[in-house]
Amino acid sequence: MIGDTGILFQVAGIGIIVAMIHTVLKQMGKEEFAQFVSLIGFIIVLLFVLNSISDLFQQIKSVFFLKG
Amino acid sequence: MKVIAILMIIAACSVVGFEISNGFARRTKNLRLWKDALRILEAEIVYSQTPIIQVFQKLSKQLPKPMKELFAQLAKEVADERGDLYEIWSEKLEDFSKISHLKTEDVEILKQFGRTLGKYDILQHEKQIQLTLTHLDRKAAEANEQNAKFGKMSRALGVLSGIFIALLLL
Repeated sequence: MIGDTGILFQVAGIGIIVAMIHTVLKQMGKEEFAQFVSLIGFIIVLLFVLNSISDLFQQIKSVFFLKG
Repeated sequence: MKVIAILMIIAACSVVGFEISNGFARRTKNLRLWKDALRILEAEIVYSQTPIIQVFQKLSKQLPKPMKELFAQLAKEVADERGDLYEIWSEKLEDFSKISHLKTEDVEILKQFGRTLGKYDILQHEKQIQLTLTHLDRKAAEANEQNAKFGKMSRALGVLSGIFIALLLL
């Protein structure tokens, strides 16, 4: 039901690393690169969890409208 | 197996980061060495009035590693009369710029200096050397600043991007 929790840790790790890269770049005055890296990190994580999200929506649909 | 692969990816990216930061450090160091070399050159030309081949030989004895070979080769090729001093000078500088991480603008300053070498009297030479030293001072300050700023950053970014790629492939 819950599936593997590995993806959670992976996403958490990516989040931490992207946050660190963001901090380093911002400290060195490369704000635009920092924003860009954050955006890329977000998109990658989104691709990772895309399947899970679509599963979630299917579940919600099946619960409320009784179809799957 | 997986752990080894992950460690290898992180190590490779870290090495790239460290190499880049090393490049900045080496540029700073080489610019400082060039300043030393020009001061010695000035002393030899203006005060001792030594011929240029002996000046090069002296420089190759006094300076550390990368400059040593450069001046030894310069002395040898000028002694062999392989062509104009400026031709030899700029040719050797091209070779030198590949191993020393100097930027093209730094090499250009030194080439300009080489163009004046041996063309004027002692007073003009002293002026030219002072001018080149001023240029190099400016470049050295800039290189120092860049080293302090980007050296650390490229190291951190190398390690972090290694961990990032490893996490993506997990």
